[in-house]
Amino acid sequence: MDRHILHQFLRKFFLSNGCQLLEENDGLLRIQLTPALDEELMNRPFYWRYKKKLGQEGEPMELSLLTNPEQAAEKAEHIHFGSPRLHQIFRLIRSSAQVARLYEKLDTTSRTALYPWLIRNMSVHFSGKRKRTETHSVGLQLLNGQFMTNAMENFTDVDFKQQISDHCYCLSPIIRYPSGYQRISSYMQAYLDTLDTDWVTETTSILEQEKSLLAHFFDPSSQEEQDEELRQERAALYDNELAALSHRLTPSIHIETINAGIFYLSEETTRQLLQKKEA
Amino acid sequence: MQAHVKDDHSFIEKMNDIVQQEAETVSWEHFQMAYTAAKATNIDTFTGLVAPGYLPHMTFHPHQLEASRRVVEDMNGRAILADEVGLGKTIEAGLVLKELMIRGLVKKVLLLVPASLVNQWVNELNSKFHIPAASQRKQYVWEHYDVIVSSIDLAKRTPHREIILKQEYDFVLIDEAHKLKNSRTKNYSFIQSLKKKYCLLLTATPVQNKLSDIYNLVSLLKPGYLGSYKHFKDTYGDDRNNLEQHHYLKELIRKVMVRNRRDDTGLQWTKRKVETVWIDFEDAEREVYDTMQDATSAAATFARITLLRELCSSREAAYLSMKKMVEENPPSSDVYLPLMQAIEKLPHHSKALKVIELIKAAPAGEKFIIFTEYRASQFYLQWMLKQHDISSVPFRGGFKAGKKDWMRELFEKHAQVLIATEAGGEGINLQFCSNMINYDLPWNPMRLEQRIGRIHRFGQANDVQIYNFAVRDTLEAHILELLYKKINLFERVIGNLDHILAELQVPDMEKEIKRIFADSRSDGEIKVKLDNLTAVISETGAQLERSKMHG
Repeated sequence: MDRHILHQFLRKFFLSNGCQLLEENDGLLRIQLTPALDEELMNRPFYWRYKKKLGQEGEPMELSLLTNPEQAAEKAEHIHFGSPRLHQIFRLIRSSAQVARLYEKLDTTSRTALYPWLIRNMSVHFSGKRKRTETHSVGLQLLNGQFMTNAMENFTDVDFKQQISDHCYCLSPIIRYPSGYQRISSYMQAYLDTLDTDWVTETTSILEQEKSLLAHFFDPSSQEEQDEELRQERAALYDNELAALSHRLTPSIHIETINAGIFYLSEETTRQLLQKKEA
Repeated sequence: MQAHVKDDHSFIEKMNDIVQQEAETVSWEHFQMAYTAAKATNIDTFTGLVAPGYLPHMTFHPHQLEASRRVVEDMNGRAILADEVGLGKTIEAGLVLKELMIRGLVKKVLLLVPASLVNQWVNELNSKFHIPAASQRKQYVWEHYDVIVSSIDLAKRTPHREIILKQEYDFVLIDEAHKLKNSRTKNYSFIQSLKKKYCLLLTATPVQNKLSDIYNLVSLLKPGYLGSYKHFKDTYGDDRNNLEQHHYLKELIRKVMVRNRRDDTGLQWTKRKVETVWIDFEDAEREVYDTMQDATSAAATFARITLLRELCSSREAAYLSMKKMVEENPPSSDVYLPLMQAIEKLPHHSKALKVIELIKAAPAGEKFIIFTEYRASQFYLQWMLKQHDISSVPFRGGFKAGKKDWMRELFEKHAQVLIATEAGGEGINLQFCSNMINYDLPWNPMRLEQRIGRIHRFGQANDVQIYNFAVRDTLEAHILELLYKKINLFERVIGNLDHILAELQVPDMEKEIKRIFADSRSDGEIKVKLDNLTAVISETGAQLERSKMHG
């Protein structure tokens, strides 16, 4: 995320959360927070608790963020990819935007049908000797079962609203949400089956090697005479180490849903999107 | 071969509930932003370090990046970091931890470090790595914070011990891990029984005495990696010089240990400039010194040596000691009272005046650290500096951690001089200051090395100027000329003095030197004995240099 994108991202975040932009120039954002964001971001729970107890309205703070590392300003904090403030904002966004039901915004006078799409965004964690994470966005049309990859990227230019536009109506899904969700899981499984599995083989062989070293080290027959207590202690250590090994070196894939939603889309827009995709 | 796939089943239930309801859901903008945030934080490659990109305010040296990469990629996050002193083991460890945290591999972390370094670790993790670490003070902290820094002594005590052993740590770090070289100690078995996924051991001296040292360290990380102890001993013996001959063993160790040496890093170290500042006692001072040397000859020789040292430092230091001796042993007042009366009449100490002269002659605002052995001298110097409008802050080992940090901060931002007593020498980094005055010299070279190490370390941008103060024709002069100059301690960059002293098996250098002074009947005898001592130190150093494990 370069700093210009970051700047726009933050600007959008604060404005869309009802904050007022007090000052903005290249690399600086001075924001008047709302009470809700102050509570989330400024880490002063006691202030808000007392204010509420007293039945008073609190005074939310200003926040000045510098997205340009070269700049400096009084009482402003530098924000960059990796800074705790940004990750606090990321966490907040992620936890507050988990499920959506949105309708395409259409300016029309004729009755228009909207088709339901289930969009599921996922982080796929591959954990082995090392770890990596892929990001996927998969859409499923809930009438005919058509799939769409990179759904979020395709939807970027479409305008969606929380309410349905005039003269539009929604078609009821044929595929129920849970089964649609499950179909996307199966789709992902099929995708995973096509991937190179060298990392699994490599990790498994390291795991086996380390296990046998461990067994050798703790082999009771190679130990000198020991009393029962010592033997038990060693056995416990062995289990301990074995558990850590498995924990660290058992290859696994974890599909984590970032967020998901039902998106109602006109036939015309769908057609355009799919065409553009093929082009 | 395919890996087990875990799906996110619970999400759909939550989603189903929300979507079925009539109420408005989140906006398109927010939904998009959540996806963008997740995508930006997901790392799609197995290899490479991403942490440096998260820490744009930090400049890492190539050897630090490479060390961290090796630990994460090649060693699976279980390794011994054994860089020589001053190359930034802490930085490498922080980078490894950050990388593992960013990749979502580590959440719960325990760092066990010497008590004097707990706060420094907490500060560095927070400010340099944005890792929210907390120091262990209260019992509940163990369970409520994810990243904890504690001393091992505290951690292994009830009730902490029981709580810690119940935790499942993703990452455990032990600083100064050479203290764990003996597998029969309580500390060792405590560390061994911790539940830990990843583990880093930090030490500048992985093999201190015996080859089994390294066996025991490696066995904490990877039990069985070097075979059973009996087998190891039968094959390699216990002489650490054998390591040179066993290339196979060296290779094995290389796979679990990173060791950068100063010469390999290709870094330009700033220089140490050393200047001896000779001070001549005023006649009155000389008279008291000489009287003390003779008059107290009847008293215990150790006491005499202490008093003479003190008199070289300040009137106050010697006076207070004598006062105490008289209180404890009234008959000794015959000897000490006349001396105390003489001291009361002395003018300002020549050394202290020299300090003022030196600081006044430096460019305005130039920062200085003054080290003294005595608290009385510390108070006196503080007072003297104040009389001359020079701002100073005191620093003592006995200060609570918070106060130490505060004093350091005051010194960096506001004061011109920091006056530290010996115990203040450990565990504080003052590389923003490049002048050091050794107002009096410790009699243990290791402590002197630690003093210099406070400012001559990574991050020091300037050449370091060291002023050694010594009063001519006193014990001090002997120490400086016969001990320190001989072993060339001041000029050489932080070496392996700690190994050398460990090798010599001289547990208390200061006592050793005191004994030399006490037992010798003439200056000539003192000289011969000190010569012998320095010769052994130098030779041991050279031997170590030859047999050094070069990872």
